[in-house]
Amino acid sequence: MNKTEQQSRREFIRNVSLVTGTSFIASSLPWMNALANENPDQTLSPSDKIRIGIIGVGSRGSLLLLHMKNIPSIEIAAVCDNYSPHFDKAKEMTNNKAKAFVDYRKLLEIKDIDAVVIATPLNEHAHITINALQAGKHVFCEKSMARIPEDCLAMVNTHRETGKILQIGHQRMFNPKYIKAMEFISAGQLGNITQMRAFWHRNNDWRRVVPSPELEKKINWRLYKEFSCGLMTELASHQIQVANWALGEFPDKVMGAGSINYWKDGREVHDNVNLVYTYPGGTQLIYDSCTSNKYYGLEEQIMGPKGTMELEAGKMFSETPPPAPGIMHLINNIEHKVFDTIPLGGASWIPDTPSKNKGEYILDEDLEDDGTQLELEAFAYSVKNNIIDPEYIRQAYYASIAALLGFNAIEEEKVIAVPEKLKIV
Amino acid sequence: MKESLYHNHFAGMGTRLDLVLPDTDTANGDTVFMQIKAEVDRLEKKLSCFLPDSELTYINQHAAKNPVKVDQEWITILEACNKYYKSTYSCFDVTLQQNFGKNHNKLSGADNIVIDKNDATIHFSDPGIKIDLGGFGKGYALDYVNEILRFHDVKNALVSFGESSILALGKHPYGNHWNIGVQHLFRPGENVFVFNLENINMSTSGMLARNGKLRYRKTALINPVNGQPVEKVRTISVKSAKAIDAEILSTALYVSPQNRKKKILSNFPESEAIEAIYTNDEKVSIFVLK
Repeated sequence: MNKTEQQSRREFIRNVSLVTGTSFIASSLPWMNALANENPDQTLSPSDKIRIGIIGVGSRGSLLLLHMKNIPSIEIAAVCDNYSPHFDKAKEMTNNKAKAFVDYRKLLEIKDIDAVVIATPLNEHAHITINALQAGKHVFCEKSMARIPEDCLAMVNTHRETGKILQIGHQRMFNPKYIKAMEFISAGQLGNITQMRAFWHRNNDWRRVVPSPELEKKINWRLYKEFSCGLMTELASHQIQVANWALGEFPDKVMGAGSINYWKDGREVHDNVNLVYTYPGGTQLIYDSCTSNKYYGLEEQIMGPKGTMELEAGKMFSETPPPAPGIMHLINNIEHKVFDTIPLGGASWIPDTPSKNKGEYILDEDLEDDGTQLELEAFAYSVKNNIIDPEYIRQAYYASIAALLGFNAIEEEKVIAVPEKLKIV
Repeated sequence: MKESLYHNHFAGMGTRLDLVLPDTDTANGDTVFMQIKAEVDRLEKKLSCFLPDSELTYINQHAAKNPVKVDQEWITILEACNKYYKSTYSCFDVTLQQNFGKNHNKLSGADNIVIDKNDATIHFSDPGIKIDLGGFGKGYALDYVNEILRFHDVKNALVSFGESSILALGKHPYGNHWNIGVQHLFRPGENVFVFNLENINMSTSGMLARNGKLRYRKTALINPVNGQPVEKVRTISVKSAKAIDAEILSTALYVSPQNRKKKILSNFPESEAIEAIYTNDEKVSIFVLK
């Protein structure tokens, strides 16, 4: 990423605060305060840098590492992986400058590590996070939070008890396109949201190459219930978070069905899931994900009486039609002091069918950032200034809880309400 | 650039209304716009046969069984429809058979709407009919829009309701009137005829084309004599002092048999009508019907 792109993102963040005012940031994007206030041009002394250890340097972890190398305020001080190819690759990616560990507990013992980034298989998130927070480290942990709801709660509780930052990798919360969309939604451009749909469809087996059979579960942990809830925790949690964010509520119950109907290859998690989440105000999120057809791809659709947003596509579709072309012609003429014939007379105009309504882009230009870089910049800034945003962790927590309870609803074939003991304020 | 130029639009009555006020500022423009929108919303809730909770839907569901109590506006509207039914020699007919288009192509006639002014009720003497105000509503609404504009002392305005119904008040800021072109169905941007409008309304009926192609092979309009959809590719444009006259005449003349058109127009001495007829090779001939 070049400097201009970085600056244009920062400018965007600042523009969000200028355009929307501080109340929108405070109410809807408090985690953006960090970036909005940051001066990107400042020169950093070594003592200004935060020292980070990365635990789990597989595909996601190495991507986070690459992003962090672009952030001047971060020094990658240590890496850790218990799978030797990843261990070797991580050392190489840091030019052997970072200390390298196989056991994360050794990494946590290093006094001058300020924070850790955790990108391990899901079932290891909770205990590593809790150990790290208790060791006085700030934590950035990839989503979902944990394999079971109780562990998510324990992570939040430890975060609050220790006063250390816990950020979960919901990068859409830092994606300019999503932020702008939330501003529009908050300004009432869709009206009150009455329905949400989200889906993530792929056509592949979701497997990674396994060099030797005994490594199957270590490599393909996403396919086994002991380690993961499959599509729910690895994909759906992102989109449920978006829906929660757009609506400003968290779902209080879920029903669902799923199965393995195509990839009958020994996996334990569903290769297709289909759920309905109900929110306190009566709005539903209809969610589905499958791995045997990719035609519909990936999308979150937010609908209200005034319009629709497709957030992945970054488009907004108004229920109000555009002005007549002849009228635009007239306005242009008047503005240029021209008197001309207005082409208007014809049979009554009727609205386009949905397939012909091409919509409008939420952002004029695509900043080509899915939010990953920004979320890591925000993490670095929060760590440096010890900023804790309670709303952020609520967003992350309820996205994880919803994904896990959705998985349970499918497994148990029943409607599951969020239990009181799992609710946080 | 002109300092005050207000324009805005909204969706209503199944189409869109565009408002252009060349010398009105934003604050005044918004006031006028909101009032127009509220009025169109009110009329749509009253007159629409598509909204399940409109007054017309209720009338259509009940007036064949029992007289339905209605307000004074309904009496005025339906009396006007009956008057137009007569003055267009049944070419403007708001009644349709309920099962029209299935296996039932019989037309009924607006005289089957029985209006009791004393009791303020209406009743269908033919139990199979329903009312469709599709060829009435936009014109009726535009006359209200005209009143709102005059109430706010707006001297110059162009209002387009679905591009088919136009109200031109005063003049274009750089001309002596408004020039509105009737568009060529198959050559977008090309006008087959230009109306000079000043304090007058214009309405066009015909087939809907988009990007030079007919949107539907058949129109929504029905020939009242044979009960068949009107199929010949053509448009009728009418200019009248009242929007409702322009609306009704363009509909009536569009569906009327050739030999009835002059007779109909003789009942509307201040209106002018232009017919554009297209041949198979998309050439167009223009006829002044007056």
